[in-house]
Amino acid sequence: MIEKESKHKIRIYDCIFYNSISSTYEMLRLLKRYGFSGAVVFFDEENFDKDIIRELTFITPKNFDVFHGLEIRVESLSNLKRKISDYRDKIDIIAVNGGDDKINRMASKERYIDIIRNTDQGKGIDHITARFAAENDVMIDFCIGNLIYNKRSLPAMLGKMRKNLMLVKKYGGMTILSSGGRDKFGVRPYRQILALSRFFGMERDDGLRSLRAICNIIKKNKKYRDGRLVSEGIEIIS
Amino acid sequence: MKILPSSLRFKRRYIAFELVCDEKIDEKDLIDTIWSTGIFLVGAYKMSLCNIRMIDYKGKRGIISCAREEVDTLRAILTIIDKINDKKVAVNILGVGGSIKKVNKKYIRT
Repeated sequence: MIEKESKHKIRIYDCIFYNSISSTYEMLRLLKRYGFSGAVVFFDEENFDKDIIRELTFITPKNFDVFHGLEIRVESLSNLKRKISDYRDKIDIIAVNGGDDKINRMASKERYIDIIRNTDQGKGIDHITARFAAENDVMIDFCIGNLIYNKRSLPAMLGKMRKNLMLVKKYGGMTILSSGGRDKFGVRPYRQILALSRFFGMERDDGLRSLRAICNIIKKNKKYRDGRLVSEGIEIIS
Repeated sequence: MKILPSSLRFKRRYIAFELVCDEKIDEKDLIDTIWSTGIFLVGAYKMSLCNIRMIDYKGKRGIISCAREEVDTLRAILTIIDKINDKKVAVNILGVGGSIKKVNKKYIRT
């Protein structure tokens, strides 16, 4: 079924992290070889720089989309709101590094946040966070890299991911599958990501939907930024 | 011992893979890592069902065979391999086929 779908050029995207220009270039080349249509390069607040983003456009392989994201680390709500207003117009996608119950809940209530990452750290998400995330279109990221690099806590992490997925599905929320690589050893082909995602209960169709989901969010954010999308459901077409 | 007739043999799939690594990896180390990772991830019982066997390994590319029903399990096992003998590695699956000849022609010799 996957083979059939890949012939029809499904647009799937991966999320990777900026480390250096050379390693990002290697990752982008590998991702193109692995059959991805594009990637979102996430920056930390420390290495977020407009010049680097400009430089990345020169090293992007042909016929491969590269978008830019920012991963925010926060402790308080006021800090979170300030950072969102600072970066909202400068970047394609905003993610929050979750992990803590308080931060997960806080991020899930924010409409301007696109992704909550590392929800498998700490105690996972609860039903209230899952409901808020579904209401505010905040996507929950299931990062394969966390499973690959934390082998000691792999069983616990798989259990938390399974629970998180069950809750997100129950409330109709959106999920993302990503490799979360920081170098060329951290990225994987999408079929392998899908195979590993079955271990925490994600079916093949859900997995493919999760790999495609980020593209829709980027399109929506672009419309908001251009002023074409006034609010949910109201769009200026001309 | 006589070999089983083809109708009675277990159906197998052949997986062509490629290692993403900076240094040369020994075949024995690779097999050991696959087995230890597999037993850690899915357990001895499931590994016995997988029926994994290394068919060929030259340079950075190779072919590994497994039971037809367990292709996805082997895919997952190969996905979580990140180190072999403290050398950083990623395993990229090039493709899956039903015969060694086809897999060799399609994925290894290209």
